[in-house]
Amino acid sequence: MNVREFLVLLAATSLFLVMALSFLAGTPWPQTPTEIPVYDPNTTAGHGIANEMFDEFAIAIILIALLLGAAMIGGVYLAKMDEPGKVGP
Amino acid sequence: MIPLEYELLLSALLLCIGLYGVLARRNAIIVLMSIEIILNASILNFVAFSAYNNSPSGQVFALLGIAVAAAEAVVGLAIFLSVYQTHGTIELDKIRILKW
Repeated sequence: MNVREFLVLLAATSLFLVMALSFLAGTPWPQTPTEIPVYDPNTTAGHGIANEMFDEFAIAIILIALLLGAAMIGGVYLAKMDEPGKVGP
Repeated sequence: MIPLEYELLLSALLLCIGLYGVLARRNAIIVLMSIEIILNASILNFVAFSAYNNSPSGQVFALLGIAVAAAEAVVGLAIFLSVYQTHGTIELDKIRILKW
């Protein structure tokens, strides 16, 4: 282990200890988890994941679809190489 | 039932492991995997707080975060493939110029 790895390990360990102390030292976290349904058929007060996803976050879903499509096209463009050293089609 | 503190501790541990991988390792694939670990730590936080606060928004954000992580992995791996073809290595300390 060289000096760089030792310093990074020291920093990561101390960061973890600080976060662990802040999590465990008297913070009043909620105690009981609740089960959230995937889909709530009550359309007026829907509380499911699918209700929330396609009502409040519909724009985000469309943007994520565009992002995935752009990533796919960009990945193929970058990885396609007909001759060594030449990037792209 | 797992207490929320334990989930937060696991998330912090994942974050620190990812930070160590990003800052200490030189292989680009390992750095990319460490970034994915950091993203998974944030996703675990979203899901934990969503379950304990009775709000489905966190789990929706977790799904969106998984999609972002997939897109990032695709582009990152393609870039590393291209860098390997042009430089012959993916050791980050040896790649000094950002031109093809």
